[in-house]
Amino acid sequence: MPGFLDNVGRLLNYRMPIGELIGLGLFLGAPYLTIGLIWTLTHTGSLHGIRGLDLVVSFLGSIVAWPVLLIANVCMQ
Amino acid sequence: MMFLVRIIDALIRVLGIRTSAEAQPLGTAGSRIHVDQYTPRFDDGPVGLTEALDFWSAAAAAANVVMQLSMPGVGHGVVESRVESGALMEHPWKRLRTTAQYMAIAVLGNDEERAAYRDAVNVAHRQVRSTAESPVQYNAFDQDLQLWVAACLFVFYEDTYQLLRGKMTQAQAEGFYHHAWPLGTTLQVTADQWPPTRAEFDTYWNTTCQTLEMDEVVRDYLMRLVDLKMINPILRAPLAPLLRFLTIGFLPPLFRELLGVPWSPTEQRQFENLFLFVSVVNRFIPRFIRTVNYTVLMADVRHRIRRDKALI
Repeated sequence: MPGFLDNVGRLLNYRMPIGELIGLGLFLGAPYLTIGLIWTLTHTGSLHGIRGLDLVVSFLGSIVAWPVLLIANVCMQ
Repeated sequence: MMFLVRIIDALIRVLGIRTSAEAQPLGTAGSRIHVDQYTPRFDDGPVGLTEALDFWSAAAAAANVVMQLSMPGVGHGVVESRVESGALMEHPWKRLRTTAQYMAIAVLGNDEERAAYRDAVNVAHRQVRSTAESPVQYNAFDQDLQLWVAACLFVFYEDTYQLLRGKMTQAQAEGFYHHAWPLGTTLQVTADQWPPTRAEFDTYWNTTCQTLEMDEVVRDYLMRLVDLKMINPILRAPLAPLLRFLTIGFLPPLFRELLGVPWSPTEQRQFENLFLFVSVVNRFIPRFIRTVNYTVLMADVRHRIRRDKALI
């Protein structure tokens, strides 16, 4: 399929200024992190019994890693 | 929507981004818009017309229509046109699509696509001729009228590009100008009709501006456009004040006078601050998002050509 390969090649060759890359990151990151925050706030069970720095790290980790936590319970020790 | 403009203006003033506190340009009978402070420019390499494609430039669309129609032959040709299917006041969204599609094809299309669109536009233009009752004589195939419209389209891209990306160097402006020729040559304007250099374009523009006139008929038509009288009132209420502001802002002083619309130093400051703000935001927006409207228009026109559907 040359058409498919052409498209992949065009995608790989796409040039983007750093500013636009940052913007794209914000654009995709904002909804991802919003979902992560909502998911974390509604699944606080795993945070019980954790304190201090551990709690902060677990909370932030849960916001970032929500897709993983959807399917598996990961423990960060 | 206008409150957003005021908030941005206040923000820019608080941040002190502008070096000159107040805009100065009023009173001069200028033929081009004057901007005190452009956003800084970060590159001096060659600039193609494709780089000027950006959805924000829609802000200048209505102002450009005003400039085009300020030439009596164009103005009366559009106002009196018997081509119902392309009438701005009857089918505003269709007219928006066809006009934007023409500009997309002129910049992005290949030779066959340009030829296909030229044929389609020619069919409509053949019906646009003055009658015995017309106050001015005109014909849509008149190359002088077409050159004026193409020159307006070039001004559209130059003004919006510089507001969003900073002022071009002289060499960049020259190259940018040469890329703009298909804006006219896609119809009946010939390559030797275009002023050969950017400086000669200025001469053409300023000379032609002195011949412009606008009578009540054209002025009423344009004011109905600026006030969005042809679209749904629910959409009109929030959009019309903003469009009016943007339109008058993108009009050079001479055209404001022709149209008889006021513009204050405060509004000029708000206008410049708005674009200082938008230009910063814009540097973070990926190109494929900024040009999505052109992508859709080109996909649509290619679909229409493949399926043999009406282009306009």
